[in-house]
Formats: sequence, structure tokens, C-alpha cells
Amino acid sequence: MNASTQEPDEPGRWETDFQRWGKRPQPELRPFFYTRLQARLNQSVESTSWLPWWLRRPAYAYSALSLLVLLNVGVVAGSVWLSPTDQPTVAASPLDEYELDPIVLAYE
Amino acid sequence: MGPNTQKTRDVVNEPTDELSRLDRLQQGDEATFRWLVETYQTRVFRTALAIVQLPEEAEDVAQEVFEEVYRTVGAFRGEASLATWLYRITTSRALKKERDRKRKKRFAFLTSLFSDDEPERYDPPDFQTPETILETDERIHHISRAIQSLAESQKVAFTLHYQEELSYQEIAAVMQTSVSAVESLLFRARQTVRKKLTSYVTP
Repeated sequence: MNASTQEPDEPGRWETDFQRWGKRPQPELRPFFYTRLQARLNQSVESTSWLPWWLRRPAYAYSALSLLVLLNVGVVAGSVWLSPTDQPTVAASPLDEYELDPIVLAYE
Repeated sequence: MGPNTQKTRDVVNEPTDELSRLDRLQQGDEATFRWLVETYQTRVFRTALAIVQLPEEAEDVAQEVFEEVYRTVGAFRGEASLATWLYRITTSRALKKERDRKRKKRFAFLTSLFSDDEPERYDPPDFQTPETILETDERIHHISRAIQSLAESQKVAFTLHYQEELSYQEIAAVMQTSVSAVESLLFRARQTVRKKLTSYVTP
């Protein structure tokens, strides 16, 4: 411990100094604090009023975002796993596409 | 006990009609919200200023505090007094602001290494005016400097005890910790300030 803190009257002196620090002169708040606060509150209400109520709460917004990401992941995963990659895709012939009878066409 | 101490006691120890005020606040009564702001604005500002040092930032913290109160008072169940709740929001917001300032300062230093431009300043200027310098002696100024070097929780406990004159129990309620933990924080804070101050005074 430092020598300056070992003198008999030191604790009381430090305590007095700390209390004087607590009562030191400090800058004051600027006037019209409440007016500025009101303007800030109105501004924040206006900036979020176009959002649906459930998106103004972070928990709901994060849940909605997570759900969206999960749905996208599910769609991508589903398209990868469920697609018949082992079967070659054959282009439908015009006859099948238009449901035409080839025999009838041959005699026309 | 001085008049200032008595005033703080009256506020922290729940006035008789605190519950009805809380009820009116939760119903969105503007007059009660205005009463709350005007009653606590100086204490909130001063507490924030002890942590962030810059009056503009302290006022910004004060505005954030009352904005949070306005938004979340509906969910406040009254398990603590309004004053305790306000001090809790204030200290947590002020500490966050101070962390952001330090992070910006570090980032500014890093970017200044790769740029020729003058780095942006993030150190709070000394807000002492000629009047306050006349009124405040050098020792108090050194204590202020030493307090800035304290750990966050010690700084909060020291400020609430010596500046806001809260009791150990009240500080424990604000910091959501035990009375013995507050005693320990204050003991270590005093020790650190003494050591720092000794090094300032006797280089």
C-alpha cells in the first residue's frame, strides 16, 4: 500500500474528497429538454408507423426473418433432394403436346 | 443528512403515490410522463455525464433513457421503484455509449494508419468552463480523471454512491447485485482512485 494512504487521518480525508467530488459543479441540461424529447418521440413514431405492428417489435421482426430464411432453405433443399436427377428429361414431341392423332395427320 | 440526501431518499424510497403514477404512465398519461421527465432529468443527465463525460452525449443518453421508458413502461411490473429502474437504464445506456465511443476511437486509430487525413477525434474534450475551474480545485479534477480509468461496474457504484448519494442497498438494486458485491466494488474503486491520484500528484 502506498505511504500516502497509511497516515491516520487519510481515510477521512479521502472520504471528504470523494464527497466533494460528488458535489462538484457540473454543466446543466440545456433548456427545453422535454420539448426536444417530445420531438424525438414523435419522429420515431412517424418513422415506424408505416410498418405493420408485428414488425415494430424486434422479436417479431427477427422471427419473421428467420421464418423467411427457413422457408427459402426448405424450398432449395426440397428441389435438390426431390428432383428426379437419374431420369433423363425428354422433350415432349409436338404431337403429344397438342394431343394430335398421328394416323389422322398422315392422311390429311 | 443534507437536504440533497433527503431528496434522493424520498425519490428512491417510493413515494406513496408511486403505484398510481406508474398506473397512469402505463395508461399513456402525458402529464405523468412529463412529471417523470422533469423530476428525474437532472439526475439522469448527471449520472450519464459521470460516465460519458461529454454533455452532448449525456443529454443524448438522457433522451434515450426517457424514450425507452416511454416505450417499455407498459411491460414494467413495478418490482423496483421508478428511480431504481431509471438509474438502471441510465447506467446501462451510458456504458453502452462509452463503449461505442471507445470502439470508434480504436477504429479511427486503425484507419488513420492507412490514411493521410487528420484522424477524427473521439476523446471527450474537457467540459470544464472557467467558472467550474474556479470552483473545482485540482484534486477534484484529478479524482474525475482517476474515476474514468475505473472498471465499468466500479465507476457506476462510485458515481451512484458519492454523486447520487444512494445507499448500498439502493445501488445493489440498481446494479441487480448483492450488497456485499457493492461493498467490494466500492472498496476496490476507492483503492484504485487513491493509487491513481497518488501517481498524479507525485510523479
